[in-house]
Amino acid sequence: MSATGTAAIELDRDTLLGMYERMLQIRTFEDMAGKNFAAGLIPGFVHLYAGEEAVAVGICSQLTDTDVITSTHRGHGHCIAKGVDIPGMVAELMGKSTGICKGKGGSMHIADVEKGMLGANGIVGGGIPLACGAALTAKTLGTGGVAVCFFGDGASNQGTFHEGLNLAAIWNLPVVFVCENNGYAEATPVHYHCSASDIANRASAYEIPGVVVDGLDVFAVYEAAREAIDRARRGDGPTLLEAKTYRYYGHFQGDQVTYRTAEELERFKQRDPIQALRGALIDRGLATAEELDAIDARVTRQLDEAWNAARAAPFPEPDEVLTDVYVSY
Amino acid sequence: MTAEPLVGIIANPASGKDIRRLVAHGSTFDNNEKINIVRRVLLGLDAAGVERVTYLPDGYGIVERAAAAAKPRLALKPLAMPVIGHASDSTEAAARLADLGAGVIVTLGGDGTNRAVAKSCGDVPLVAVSTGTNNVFPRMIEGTLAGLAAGLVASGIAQQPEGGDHIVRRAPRLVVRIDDAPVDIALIDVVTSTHAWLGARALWEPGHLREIVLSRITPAAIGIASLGSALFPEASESHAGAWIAIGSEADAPFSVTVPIAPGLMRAAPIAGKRLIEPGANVTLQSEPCTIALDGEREIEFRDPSAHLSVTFDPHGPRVVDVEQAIRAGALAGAFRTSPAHAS
Repeated sequence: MSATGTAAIELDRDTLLGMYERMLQIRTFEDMAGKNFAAGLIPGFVHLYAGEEAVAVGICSQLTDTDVITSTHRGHGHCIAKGVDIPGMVAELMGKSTGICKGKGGSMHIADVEKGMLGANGIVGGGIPLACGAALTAKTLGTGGVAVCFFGDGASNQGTFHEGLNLAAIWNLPVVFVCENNGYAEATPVHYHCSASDIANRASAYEIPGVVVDGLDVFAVYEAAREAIDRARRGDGPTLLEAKTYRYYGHFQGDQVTYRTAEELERFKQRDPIQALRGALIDRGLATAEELDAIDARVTRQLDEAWNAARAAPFPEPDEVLTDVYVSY
Repeated sequence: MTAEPLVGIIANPASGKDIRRLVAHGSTFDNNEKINIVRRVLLGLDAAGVERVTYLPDGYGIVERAAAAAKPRLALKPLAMPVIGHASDSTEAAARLADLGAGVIVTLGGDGTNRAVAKSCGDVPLVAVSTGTNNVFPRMIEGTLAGLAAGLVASGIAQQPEGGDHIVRRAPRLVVRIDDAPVDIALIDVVTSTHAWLGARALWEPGHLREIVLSRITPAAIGIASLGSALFPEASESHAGAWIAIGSEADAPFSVTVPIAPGLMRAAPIAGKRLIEPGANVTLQSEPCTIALDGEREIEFRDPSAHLSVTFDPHGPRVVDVEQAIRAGALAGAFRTSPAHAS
């Protein structure tokens, strides 16, 4: 066995406060996106990530700019965790020319290749082959990079999932498959749509490690992800991590959410990942409530400013409609 | 024979999937295999004459799916309890089964599952079938035999002799105390760890361990409990437990190399060790740490002024010896049938 887990997790105060701020940025971004979608400021659809922040931040806080991620229709949290510019994201959601994709990607096709964020994806399971390709690139070029592939419980029933895990296994690719199991594929409960009790079990069919982790606990995610990322980076191959998580909003904004109970939502909110981290920081004397409140206020101000700037920004000119739509090689 | 003996089943759907599949070589124990085991348990119970089984419901329907294929004659009933997908489900189920007068509880899980059950099962004997990772308490036992043994004990066919303990034995437990107040229990080991966070919960590196209290010295143990027989082979299978302090490679006089997780042999530097007798109270260092119970970090201990101790309590859960129960059943004629013309 190679040297895994040789050091206990020692996260210093600055790192922990950074993780707290990132999680809060995601939550605030999503809460404002929900309101502004309802106000008609965002074209198309938005699928909000609130509740799942510990997964994206627990994992992406350990990635470098050499590492890449692929995302899903619920991609805002992955973008923020990977360091994509937040004002640029807000403008992108509104379809403004100052957006990170000049307003032509929108919520479901937002991407920032410079940051290693290879794209949200409107196709369920669509990111899985992309991550395998990126991992093959990293392996072939010897960049030392790792690809992390986020997808949901519903995607684990798609052919791309099984093809991707198989390819990654036979080619020993540096990829970490992260299934964000939030309990529902759109409106269908996981125990109804999925033959496996735990999606991590499906790893055994491809003879790679499969691990279940508490996706509401950023430390549990961080620790498991560290092992999986290290394993990929040192050339030992792919891992399937299943993070059990929960989304606070519906599948999309406008979803009436008739398929789950208010009690269930409330039960999960009692274990809110951001509040849990906040409590842990205060309990350990790593931060005071006042310091954390100051971060909360800064994040709210940052997002308010981003929305104001995006509102004021222009839409792309009509004669740019075909520009940047297809990439020329 | 007890009238309509009741047997409980607690099959933990979450056991066998933690980080040790990644950092060590733990098996993935999928729920399909658990269904197969429960199927055989139900048929064993049926054969032993059990008429009622009550069980912990789970989202996947382990027991329901097992029954659908096995079609046992016995009546199956889920416990009417909220299930939240946490270890506390097993504790709650065990308490309810004890209240209902279950004669035996069959558990499927690892040391962690049985710890959760042992918190509340009282004197109801356990048949513990291993489906977890580091298993010292439950055994890798064939499901049919587990069902037969549970049924023979619950129905009273396998009779415990007066004052005897060969069919149902009392297992020890460890009671963790902070400022002398009991806060939790473990069945096999209590370990203080340098990990600052509960995180992914498992422990698999000797460098993260500080002090260990073991409730038993088992020669063929996997996990941290394997340190016991490596250090105290003469005390194997005695009633003794042990206290062990892990040191640094630079300072410790010697190390022992043990299977600290499945497939993971690690050298642990030993700074101190002693056997402990049942009833002993062991004081641990009060430095901030995380405390692992039966292999999983469960408690964050952060107040250095608090007194941290462990009581080695010999009065833990009662456990069925499967071989002895089946033997007693055979002696009682449970497996013998006579030709119809002989009656």
